[in-house]
Amino acid sequence: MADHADIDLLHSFRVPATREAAFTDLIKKYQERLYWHIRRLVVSHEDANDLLQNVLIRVWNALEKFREESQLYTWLYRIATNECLSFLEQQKKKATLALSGDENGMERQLKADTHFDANQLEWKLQLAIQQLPEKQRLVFSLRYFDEMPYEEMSKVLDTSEGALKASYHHAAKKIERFLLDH
Amino acid sequence: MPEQQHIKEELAALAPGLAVPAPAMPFAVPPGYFEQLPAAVLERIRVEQDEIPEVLRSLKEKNASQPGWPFQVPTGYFEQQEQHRTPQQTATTTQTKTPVVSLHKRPFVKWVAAAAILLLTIAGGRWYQQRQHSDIETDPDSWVRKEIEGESIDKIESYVEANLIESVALNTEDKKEIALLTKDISQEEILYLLSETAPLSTSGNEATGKQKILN
Repeated sequence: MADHADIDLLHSFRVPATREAAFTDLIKKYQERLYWHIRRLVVSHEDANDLLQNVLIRVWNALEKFREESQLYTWLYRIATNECLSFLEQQKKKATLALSGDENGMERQLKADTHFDANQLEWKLQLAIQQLPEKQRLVFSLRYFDEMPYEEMSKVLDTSEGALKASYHHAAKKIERFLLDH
Repeated sequence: MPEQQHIKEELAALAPGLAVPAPAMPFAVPPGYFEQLPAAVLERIRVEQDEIPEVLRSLKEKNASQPGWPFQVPTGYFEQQEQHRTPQQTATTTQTKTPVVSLHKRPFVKWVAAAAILLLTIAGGRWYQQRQHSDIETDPDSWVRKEIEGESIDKIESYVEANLIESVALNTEDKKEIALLTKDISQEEILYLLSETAPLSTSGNEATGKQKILN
């Protein structure tokens, strides 16, 4: 069930006169959480910005039909995650066509960042996350950074809680090993 | 918070080397990015929905009650047009109207249709009869089968025997020619040749032979 503030926001959105104001409030409320969720997955700000705008346009088009049975932020995360996964899939196809090297595309992008300092713990952590398979990266990011309960994550990713716990376990172990080895 | 505590404990058990809470993000965003994002998104939505600018939209709404906007006609123009139509104009319009008469109201149509059907039936029957007769030329085998269908074997045999004899009856000139051609061939050889080339061998089952003819 959506919380009261979100329900008010949804009601305002359904009134044409207050629609844009309500949507502006919605963006202000969720933009940073969604942005960082996307950015952690795609790394580059330009890609994250494009994807976030696409997500918000999708939200605008579908918000009127949103049923208040579930949390609004769960629904937003689900749209954002699907958008990111489609984007990453496209990137993977492009990389397969364009590159013959074995270096991870995300890792390369991370190293190309002007602020990148491989010795900083934060960067090492990001580097470690980029080594993970897509699903584990997604689960680790939602749990570790967004502190999302497994129950909510299950709705976002359409995966059982048991499978999510196993993914998180493997991801955490791999990252820890990476940090100790580098 | 209980969820944060739970995550902390879970991670401590799984991977004690990982810091909790999560370290600060090393990524940066351009200055003022989050402040400008709502306006940028709304602008994109307007563009994607192909919305007209505010000034044009308000003008359209203001003049929505005038169908010919931005053009106008003199006051009462359409009412005057209606009044100017004379009784003669109205009558002409009525007279030039194309009359529509139902087919059901034309009895001769029924007779024409009945005659056409009768004609078609007769022509079809004649054509079928002609086709039956011409079968003997185009497909004699089928024609024969059809003709003897239902006739008894004895009747067919007697007919074949009578007609065969009749057909092989030779005139005097033919007999002379045959005698000339066979003068150097012995009687035994001719008999042997005839027995070898008999058209309907009776060596097998008689019934089988009959069946061969009928089928």
